[in-house]
Amino acid sequence: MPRRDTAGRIVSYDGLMSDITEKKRADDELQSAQAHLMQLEKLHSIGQLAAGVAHEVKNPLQIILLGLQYLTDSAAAREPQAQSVIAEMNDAVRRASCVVQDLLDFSSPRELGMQRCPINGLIEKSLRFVRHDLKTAHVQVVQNLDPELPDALAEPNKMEQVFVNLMTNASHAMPQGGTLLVATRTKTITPADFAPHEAGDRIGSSFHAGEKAIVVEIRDTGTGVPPAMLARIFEPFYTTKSTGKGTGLGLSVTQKIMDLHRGKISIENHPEGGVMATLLLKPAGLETGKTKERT
Amino acid sequence: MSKKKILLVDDESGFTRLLRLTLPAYEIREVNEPLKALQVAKEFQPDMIFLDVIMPDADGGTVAAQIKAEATLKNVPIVFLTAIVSKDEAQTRREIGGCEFLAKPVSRDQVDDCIRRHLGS
Repeated sequence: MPRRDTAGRIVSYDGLMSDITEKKRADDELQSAQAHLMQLEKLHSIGQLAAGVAHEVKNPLQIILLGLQYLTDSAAAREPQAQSVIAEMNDAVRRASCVVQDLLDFSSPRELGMQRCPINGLIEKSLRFVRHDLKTAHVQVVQNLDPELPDALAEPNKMEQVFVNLMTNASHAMPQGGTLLVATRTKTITPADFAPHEAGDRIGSSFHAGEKAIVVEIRDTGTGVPPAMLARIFEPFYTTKSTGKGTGLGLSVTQKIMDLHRGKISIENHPEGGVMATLLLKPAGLETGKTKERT
Repeated sequence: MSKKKILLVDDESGFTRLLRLTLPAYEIREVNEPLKALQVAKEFQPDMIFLDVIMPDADGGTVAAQIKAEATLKNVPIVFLTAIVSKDEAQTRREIGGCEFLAKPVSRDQVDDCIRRHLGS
């Protein structure tokens, strides 16, 4: 409210101020909790849908698969082209089955069996798993793994799934061949790690400044991803790959696994070309046990 | 030597028929109505049973419990076949209620390996 002198000129203002920091924080927390609940509800619905789809789709796939195996042994399979037709059909069944499997993985409720994991060992195991794909795509692997890396607190199968997903994506990003660079190191978290610096960043981990973290970097030398696509890269069913190459759930599953591990994932275009996925994981302390997935 | 006897309980008749056709080394009996599974099992006296989990009228767990309660069948290995299992569960947790499970779609070789593992044939 303005205060005036006798001539009617404003000489000062009167006002009341109050600190609403706490109220704003409470409002933000409430909004965040509501968003989280809505997300849980959505995932629950997707879970029910996924179970229904899995049952209704996998059973026909099962019949087609066995039918193809029966035909493989029959006289018809000796006809010219028959084996290649059967192989194509087998591949189609495998792809369709993968889509349903990814949907189930994305939505299934489960418990994480957390334990001390040697991350370098899991990376090497994952590389063995994708070696055939990398070789076929003429992708060379360069590893720079820190031999002093501490163990992480993680579920080994789930972390392998993360590494395999990211390595497979990297391989698909280099159809003409290239280099897959995999590196591990430790770092101390700084406030800059919480700042969103590119669209594919995933914020919201439980790290705090000064904390030690295990860093895993998986980088390809492909053409990179346009920023508009990078912004949507973690969305379920969003894919930049051609039909049959991806379900659009791989990175959603990856992100979900990282969230369950209270870790952080960011995917960015690398200044020297290609895409780099950076994972931050908690080193194993004394705590072990199970994390209940709330989906 | 007589063939090992396998009972297939699954409401998908196309699946049970094709599995029977692709595994001629075994004597396979198909049951597509789960409520008849116990009766057929008592008559057939299988060496091993494959049981679908989600079926109309009675689920696989119920049928397994009925079979396990039967004195002449309680030691017969039961393997569940299920379409609703995540990749990770299929890789690591291979049991439902103490029984092994296979994730659909299964190949003929997977089923054959499973039978050999249980029956040693």
